[in-house]
Amino acid sequence: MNQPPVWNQARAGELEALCRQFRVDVLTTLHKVGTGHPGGSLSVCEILAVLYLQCANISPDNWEDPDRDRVVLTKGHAAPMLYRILAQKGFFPLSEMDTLRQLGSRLQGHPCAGKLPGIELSTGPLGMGLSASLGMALTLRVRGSAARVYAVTGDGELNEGTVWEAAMAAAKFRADNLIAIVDRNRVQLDGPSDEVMPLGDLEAKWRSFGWYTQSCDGHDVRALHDAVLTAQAHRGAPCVIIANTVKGKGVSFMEGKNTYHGKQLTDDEYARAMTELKGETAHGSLA
Amino acid sequence: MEALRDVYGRTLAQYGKDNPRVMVLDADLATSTKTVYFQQACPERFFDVGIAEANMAAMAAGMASAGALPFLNTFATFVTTIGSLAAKTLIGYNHLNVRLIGSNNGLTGGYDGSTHHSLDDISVMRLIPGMTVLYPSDACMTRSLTRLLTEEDLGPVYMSVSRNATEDLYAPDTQFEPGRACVLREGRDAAILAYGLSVGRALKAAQALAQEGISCRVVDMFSLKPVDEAAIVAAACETGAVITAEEQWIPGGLYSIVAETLLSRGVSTRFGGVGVTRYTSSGPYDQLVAHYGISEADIAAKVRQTLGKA
Repeated sequence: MNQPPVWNQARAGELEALCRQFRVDVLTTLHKVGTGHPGGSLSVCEILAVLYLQCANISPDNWEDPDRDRVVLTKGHAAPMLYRILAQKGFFPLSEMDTLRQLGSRLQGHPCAGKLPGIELSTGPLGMGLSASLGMALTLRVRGSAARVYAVTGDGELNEGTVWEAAMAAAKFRADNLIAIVDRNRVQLDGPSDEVMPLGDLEAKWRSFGWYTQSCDGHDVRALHDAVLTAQAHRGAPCVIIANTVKGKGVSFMEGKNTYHGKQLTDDEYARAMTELKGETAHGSLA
Repeated sequence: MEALRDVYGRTLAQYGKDNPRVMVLDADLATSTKTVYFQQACPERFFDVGIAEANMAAMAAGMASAGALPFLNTFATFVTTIGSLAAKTLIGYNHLNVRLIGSNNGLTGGYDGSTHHSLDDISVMRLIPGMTVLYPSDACMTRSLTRLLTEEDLGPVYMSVSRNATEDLYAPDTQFEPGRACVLREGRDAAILAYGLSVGRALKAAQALAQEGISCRVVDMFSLKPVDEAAIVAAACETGAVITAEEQWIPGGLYSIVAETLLSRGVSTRFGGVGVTRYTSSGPYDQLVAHYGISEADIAAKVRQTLGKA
C-alpha cells in the first residue's frame, strides 16, 4: 500500500491552498463550457480533496490493483470538482478539463466509469451509489482485502429511499470497511433541504440505522481528516460522517443559494467570483 | 419432474460453490427462488438484503465492479421494475458481469395474480444495450445455462426462470450457446418460434397439426438476445410462414423481435403470433394459459389462421 503524505499543519495548509485553486479552476471551466453544476461542486471540494489527496489509497499507479481503496461520488452532479481533483492526482491532463460535457469527452456530465480512469462507478441518478459502494465493500471483505470504500453522498440525495435500504443492509452486514460522507449543504435544486424534504436529526437517523456517526465542518480539512481517521479505526459497523458544508462555498453571492445548483455565472458574476476567490488565495499559505 | 426454479437453485449451488467470485443476493425470496441451496452451501457469499430490490440491484453492480460475479434473485416482475434503474444505469451502462435472475416468470406465479405475473421481462431487458437475455425451456437447458453463467464472463445477463416443472425437451448434457437457436422439429409448411414453457406447447401443437397434414418446424428461441437471426430468416424463407408463441405481452417480445429481424432483412412472409394482451387474473397455471390464449390449441389455431386454413 502507498503511504499517505505525512499529515501536519503544513500539509493541511497545502490542501487548503489547493482547494482555493480547485474552486477557481472549476468555476473557470464551467464558465468556459457554459454548462455544469457549480453549487454542489464548491460544497464537496474539501471532502474530495481530503479523500483523494490524503486518506484514500488511490492513484494512477495502483488504479488496476484490486486492493486499492474506492471513492464513489454518489452525488454525480458534482463531477466538475471530482474531475479537477483527479487531474491533480495525474489521472488525466488538466487541459482536458475544457472538454467537460462536450461530445466525445471522457468528462461526461455525470461520471462515467470505464471512460475515465479514476471513476469507480457511473453515477448521476441519485440514491444508488451507497448500495453499490456496499456491494464493493462486501466483495473486498469476502476476498480478504483490507481496502476501504468511501461513498460521498449529497443531503438532497438522502430523499431517495434506496439510501436507507443500503443503510439498513450495511449495518446488517457489519460493513466496517464502508465509510459514507454526507455533503450536508442543506440546499437542493428546488430550495432549502429543510423545505423540500426535511431530514430532521440526520446523525440520529443514521445512528438508529446502526451506523457509527460523526459530524464535522465539511470545509475544515483538519476536522475532515480527523473524522476519516476515526472512521477508519472503527470496527463492527459502517461509519458516516455528516460534513456540514455550504452550497456555493467561497463565493459570497452563491453561498446557500439553490439558484446556483445548475446555473452558470454571468460574465460579471464570474469576474466577481474570481476577485473573491483569488483575493482569498492571495492571503493563503501558498501565495 | 423437478421444477425449473429448483433446477436453477441446485445448479447455482453446485457450480457457484466452486467459483469464489460467485456471490448471490436475494430479496427475502430465497426459499421461493431456490437460492436457499446456495445459502446452505456458501453462507459467506450469500446476502439476503430484505425486501429491497433496488438496493439489491445496485449492490450487485458494486460487487461486479469490484471483480465479483454476482447473481441477483427475485421475481421476474420485480427485476424489470424495481431493479431496472440499476439494470440500465449501472449494470448495462458499465457492462458489468451481473446475472439478473427473474423467477416465477410468465404466468407461473399463477394464483398470486397479475401483480406477480411477469409479461414484460423480455421487452424490458432486451432494450438495455449489451444485455444478454435468456429464457430456458426445460430442466436440461436451465441446468446448462445456469452452469454457463457461473463459469463464463458474459457481461450483463438476464435469465428468466419458471416456477414450474415441464417435460424434458433435450437429452441430458446437451450444450447451449447464447445466440444459437435450437430446431426441435423439422417442417415444411410453417415454423413455430417459441421460448420458455411455450416450446413444449408448440411441439404439441405441431404434433396435432401433423395429423391434419400441416408440417411445422419448431424452433426454441431461448436466446432472445443475442437472437439467432439466421434461424429466423431460415424459418421464414424455408417454410413461408412464421408463428411466434410466447408467455409475454406481445409488444416488445419475440413477435416484435421476429418482425424487426425480417423487415430489416427485407424478408416477406406470412406472420402471426400468440401472446398475452391484457392484465391477468389469479388462477391455476394451466387454466391461465388457456384463458389468455397461449395454449397448444391456440398455437395450432394461429398456425391454421396464418396459413389460411382456419
